[in-house]
Amino acid sequence: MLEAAMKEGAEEVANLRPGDEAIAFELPGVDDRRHALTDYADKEAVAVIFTCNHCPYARAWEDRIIRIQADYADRCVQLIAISANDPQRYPADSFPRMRERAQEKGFNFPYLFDESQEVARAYGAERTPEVFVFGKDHLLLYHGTVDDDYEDPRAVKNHYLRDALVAALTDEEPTVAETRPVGCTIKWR
Amino acid sequence: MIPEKGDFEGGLSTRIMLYERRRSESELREPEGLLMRVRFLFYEDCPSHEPALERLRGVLAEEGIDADVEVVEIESEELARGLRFVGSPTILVNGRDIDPPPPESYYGLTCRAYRLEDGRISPLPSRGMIRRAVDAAAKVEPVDGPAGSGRSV
Repeated sequence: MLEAAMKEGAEEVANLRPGDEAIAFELPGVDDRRHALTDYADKEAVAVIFTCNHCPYARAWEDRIIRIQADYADRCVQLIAISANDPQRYPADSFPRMRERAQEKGFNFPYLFDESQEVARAYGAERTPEVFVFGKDHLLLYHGTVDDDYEDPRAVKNHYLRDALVAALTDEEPTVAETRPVGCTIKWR
Repeated sequence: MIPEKGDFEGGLSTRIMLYERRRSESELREPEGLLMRVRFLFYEDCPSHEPALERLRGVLAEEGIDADVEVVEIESEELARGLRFVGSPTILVNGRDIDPPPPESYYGLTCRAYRLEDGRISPLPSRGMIRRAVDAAAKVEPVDGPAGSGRSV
């Protein structure tokens, strides 16, 4: 049921389709530095992941995202996490709480705060987590969910994010270019 | 505690069937024991409610419990606060949350995070969590009768 739901309607969301160019941004990170997408222009693959602190889907996939970054860091792959949630309505998603989460979990990627929500809107992101993978030519290779089982990592059959990164590294097209993101809605102001 | 209709601020329309505070014991009990009331609260934008409801019904069937499941959609922040809704899905068995949230919990339209038995976070309660709650409710003794079976009318 999850797999069918993910594939159905994938074209209904996001402003980017496979083959589109990445949208530039510059945002503050929990490491007190500003991070621009262009900072990672030399990477073989970049995955921009809209996520947040409070959403149980984001939390369920967190460890897997950390593991993916660890597995591919030495292959010139960069994951970038962005939270765009309104911290007024969802205090658990505030910038200080983002910093705490990154420290607590040992995030091995930048965790950026899209306070104005402009970047999320530009990408057309709607869910957390929602993944956009770009190859070294900065064109979108994959958009959608992390894998096909948010509840049990041992039951995953389709590792969409991993497969897209491998495709980027081997100059191939991923087997699956789009899935429907599964998660909480982004909390707009 | 289930809020009364008057507890909500005026003009609020709901799809909730509110229970009367005082019901006679004869309305609440069958010869075999207590009526089990199961209430499933959800927020439409959170995609876990369908698999969670399916899981709930599956556990009830496995345990041989024929409880009516009242499905309630939480459509507004106001309603969420009024019902102390900490997130979707929320399952109440005889008015008790199957995974009681901490007192400082935020009430609102959001997805709910459950901590599973192995420490992982999930948008769904585990089967074990649901099973323990319904089994505990089924074992509650009525005031003037033998231990109940948890069957509903």
